[in-house]
Amino acid sequence: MTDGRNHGSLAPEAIFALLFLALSGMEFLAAPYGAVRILGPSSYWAVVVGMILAMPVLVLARAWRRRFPGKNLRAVATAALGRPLGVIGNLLFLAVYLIWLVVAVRDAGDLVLAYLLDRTPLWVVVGFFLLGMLYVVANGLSTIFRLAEFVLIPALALRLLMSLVSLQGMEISHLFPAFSAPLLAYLRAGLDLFRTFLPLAALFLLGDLLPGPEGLFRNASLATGSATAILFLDALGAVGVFGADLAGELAWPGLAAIHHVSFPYLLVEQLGLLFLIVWLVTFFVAASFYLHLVAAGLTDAFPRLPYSWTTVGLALLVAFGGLILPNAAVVRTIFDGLRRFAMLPAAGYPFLVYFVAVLRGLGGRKDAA
Amino acid sequence: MRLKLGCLLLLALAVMGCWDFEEVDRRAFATTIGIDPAAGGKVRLTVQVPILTGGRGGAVGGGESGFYTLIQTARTVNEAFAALQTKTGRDLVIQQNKVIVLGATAARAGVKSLIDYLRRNPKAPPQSLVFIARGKSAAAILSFVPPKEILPASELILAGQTVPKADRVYFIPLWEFVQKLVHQSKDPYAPLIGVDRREKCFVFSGMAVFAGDRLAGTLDEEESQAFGLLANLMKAGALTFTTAGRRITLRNVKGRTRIAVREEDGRPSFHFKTVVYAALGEDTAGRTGLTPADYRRLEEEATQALRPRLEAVVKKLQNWEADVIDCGETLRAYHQRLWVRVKSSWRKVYRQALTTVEVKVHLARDGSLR
Repeated sequence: MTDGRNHGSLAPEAIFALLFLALSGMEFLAAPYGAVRILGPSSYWAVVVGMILAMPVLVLARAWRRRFPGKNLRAVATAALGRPLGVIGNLLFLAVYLIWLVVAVRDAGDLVLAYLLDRTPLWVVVGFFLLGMLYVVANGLSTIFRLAEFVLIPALALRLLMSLVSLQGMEISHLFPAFSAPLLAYLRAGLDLFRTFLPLAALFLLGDLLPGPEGLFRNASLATGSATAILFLDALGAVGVFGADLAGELAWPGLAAIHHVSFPYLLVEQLGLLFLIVWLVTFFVAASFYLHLVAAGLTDAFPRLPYSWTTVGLALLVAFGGLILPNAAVVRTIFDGLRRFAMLPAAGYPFLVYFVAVLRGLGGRKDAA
Repeated sequence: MRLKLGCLLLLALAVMGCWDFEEVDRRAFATTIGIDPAAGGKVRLTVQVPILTGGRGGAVGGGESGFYTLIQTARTVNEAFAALQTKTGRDLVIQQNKVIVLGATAARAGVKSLIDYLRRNPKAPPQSLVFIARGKSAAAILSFVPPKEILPASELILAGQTVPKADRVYFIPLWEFVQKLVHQSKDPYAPLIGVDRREKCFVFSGMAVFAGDRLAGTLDEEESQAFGLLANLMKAGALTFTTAGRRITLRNVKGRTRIAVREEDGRPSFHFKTVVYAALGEDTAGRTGLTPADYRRLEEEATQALRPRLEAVVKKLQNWEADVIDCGETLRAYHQRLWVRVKSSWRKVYRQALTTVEVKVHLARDGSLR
């Protein structure tokens, strides 16, 4: 195992690959899940509102890269807020990713049990997820980036293709009224889907690994746009096929929309299983990325922690946290709450740190030099 | 390095299939499921299973086809399915189910509780076609052995995939049936299936329409054709009407119905505008040399013949409070304020709504004769 740090900045394309997979893999095939309850038939707009709300995060990432070249959130936060506050803030920031990872791994385990491995104990599924993730994160970020680049094209192509075919059987009337709720409700629903863009806040942790501000902004925007297009198609498919009422009842409406597709006479008559495999690959990459982020963040904050054993410890924590949740209803309740509130502190903290740093005159040309 | 190797070795275990590993020849695939009510509020589940290795099978306890049939009575469908495991040496699985037949009595009592297992179970194929047994139990349908097919489900699924069948009967997959069941602004429908024991065949003819989750009534073949036109389901119909002492059949009929909603005294009224595209299939008078004026006359005669049929079906559906033609959905989607006002009493509003039908027939061609 290495110390988890990588030398030299990442290629802009690698940023695209990782962000796209993280954005589409961590969204639990439930694009209109909460939004459909707020907006009803027009919940697909929530994806667009969510993306618009996420754009300032990208703009901040570019400004951050310009003002604090080579510095990550921990370094700037410690300098701007002082060590005690900076450490607490950074730990809370990392905790958001860790808690998300715990619930996401558990939900993915439930999904695998529901659709694939009925009788397999949950601990086996969660265990194999984490063992695989440990193997990938052992060599630090470069392995995750390489894996992301390796699976990007098939994942992107298949995901897009399946999102398009999930529109089979769509009824246009299900998408109407196109504006079915008051204006403020769109903001609420957009905030609900804002969490989809949680991986973007991870850019602030990568610091010295990021490419130049323009390359970063271009590729991150491209990844966000591509993932949004797919999520928008997923939402259209789920609401268009099942209607708002039924889409609101389904645990994984995006998956159900693809599961319902049938191609008579073809060898693969049902796409559900194939899609699940594609999604699991993207989830695996995204979850590995989160595990690395938290481990690297902790070792960065506490240099005496060895990266390798930190990842093992975190994996055990994720396994324990995931398995201790008693049932799917509890997982759903926690995940719903997390979806609603996680993004605000995750995105808000870098903004707070940036503005305090600017007020205190940190960064800029002097610092870069 | 040791940790990596250890992880790699442990991962290798994953390819062995964990706990769910089961060879195909150790599975019994339920391909058709029949659900009927049984005494004491129980359900009777009938399941057809193909015999993968060939040999004897058929109706319960015997027959010569490539399948066997199992029946189990229990308190719930899931319990019945689980109990059927005691009747087969293999693992009975639902992943390959193609057809769900609901008995007429079960459908009249309400289907929501009966299909919960099928919609909740992610392994139950959402593409399975739903049928309602015409005046019989589902078990009676499933006990029939068609001589031409090794597996009855194959014939039923084949029928569902054949476009020209979209004339007197309209097939519906489970996911769409559930979708219509869940939505307040819609009601489900399903094709009727019967058995002609003299000619030894299944008969797909007529439609079952629901008000909520209860079977409200059935439409005969001609009424089903009108329903197909109103619900935009007809893909290749064959409509016959009589005019001036001769019988005309239109073939390759497709319809497109748009519903216009008007608000009168705070209540909606519905105007159905149906445009029918067809070719002349048969004229018992054997007329040839049709001129544009003859086309216009035929179109007018077809319009006059079709409109009362469509009106009658709309009225019938209203009386049954079965909104299978998407009046409520049109209201919900395009007239939201009005829908919000009436949705709590939608069935009553639908039943009492003023409805009008306008039909326009377009005749495109008349076959190989001039």
